[in-house]
Amino acid sequence: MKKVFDTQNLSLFYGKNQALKNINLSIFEKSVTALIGPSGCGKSTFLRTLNRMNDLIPDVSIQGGVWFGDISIYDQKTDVIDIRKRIGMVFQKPNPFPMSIYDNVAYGPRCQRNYSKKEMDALVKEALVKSALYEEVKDRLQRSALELSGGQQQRLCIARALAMNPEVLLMDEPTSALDPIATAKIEELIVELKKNYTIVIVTHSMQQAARISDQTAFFLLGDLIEVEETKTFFATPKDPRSESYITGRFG
Amino acid sequence: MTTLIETEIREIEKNLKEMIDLVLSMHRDAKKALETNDTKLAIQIIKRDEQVNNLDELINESVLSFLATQAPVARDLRSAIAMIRVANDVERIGDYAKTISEFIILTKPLYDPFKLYINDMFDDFMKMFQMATSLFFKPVLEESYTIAAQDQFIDAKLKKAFHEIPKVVNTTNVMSLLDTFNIIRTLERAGDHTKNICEAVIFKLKGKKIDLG
Repeated sequence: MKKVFDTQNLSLFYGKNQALKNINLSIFEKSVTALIGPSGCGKSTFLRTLNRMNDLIPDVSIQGGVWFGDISIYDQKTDVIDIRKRIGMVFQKPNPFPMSIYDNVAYGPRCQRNYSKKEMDALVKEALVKSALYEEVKDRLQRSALELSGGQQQRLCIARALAMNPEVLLMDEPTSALDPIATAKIEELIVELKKNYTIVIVTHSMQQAARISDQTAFFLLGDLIEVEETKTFFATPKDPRSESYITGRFG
Repeated sequence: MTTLIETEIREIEKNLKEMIDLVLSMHRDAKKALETNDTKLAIQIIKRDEQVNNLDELINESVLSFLATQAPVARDLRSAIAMIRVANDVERIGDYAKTISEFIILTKPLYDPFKLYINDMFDDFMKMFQMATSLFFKPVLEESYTIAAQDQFIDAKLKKAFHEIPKVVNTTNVMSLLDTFNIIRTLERAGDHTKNICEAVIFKLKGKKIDLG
């Protein structure tokens, strides 16, 4: 399988506090990689290094490298806007813009260039179909996105990310604010999306990681303890710390 | 702190231990009943088999519920699956004590020349069964191979007894001899199932199905 990301001795500091310690992790094309670990272990920080979202936090410094194909993410010449376009992100809480469903999806592409109405209609429809939301909203595209349920809003956020035609989707606990039915829909969607996209997901749910990911990486206190094929990781983890964490005997 | 998962596993283990103790007592008594042609004891053994079957069902249901509600992973998942496997083998081993008891009731007496083989095979099997089942609750990888290897002694006795058949068979004793040999075969099968318990120990530790032959 082709590597999409490769981190090399990646360390990240918030001021003097080291949040990531020499992380070497490869993420493969058209697969789901789950990042797990207790709160504060560095998994979300790691996720955000992949599309330079940590740049927005003051006092952050980075050592080592993150390669996105043959692009060095942290090279000064790298176009951050282009990187974020190619590497979309979905957050913990659905955050639709206070505008119509249609405009939420169209917002990103409109910022890129001018589209005809016909082109934009097709683009919006395609993104909503891919995010498994179209059938539920096709008759009310001009209604406010804030009228949607939590699960629908999260799928709208996924549609919004897909509308930019990314290669990768980064998801930071995308179902933690959702009920089990909405969660199941998002999980089904993730499994469907991996046919065309590379997905990296942070999750606190061991079962979710086990259900939907191909590779699992376990972080602890800024260290990458173990990375393994998911079915092997959850059946026979190699490191005793991984075993203790996933069986709930940690600490 | 004991987790909910640990509490549930211990509860299932408790039932499995009870089932193992019951089956071991059935075989101890079967050996005794066979030696003394004790049909009353044989009937008691047959009754105990029902308890064994109930425990097997309880363990299966408990593991299913455990998997559904606790979604265990790693060693907890391996333990749960291994317990279903062991319960299945122990249930079969219990059936063999029942088979022997039915023989005591229906077919006695035992064909004399094979009595010694049966005694020895009972002892070998029960020793192996005790060691394998104890190991299951305190697993050590190397010991599972050592204990499984003891099955070869039981197999060797079956072979030796088999080769003696032509020397002792005649037209008057053939049915008694066949029934007696059936007990020998039953004990050999009990040894095989005990070897499966050793395989379950390896699965519990490594998550791999190893065929110990």
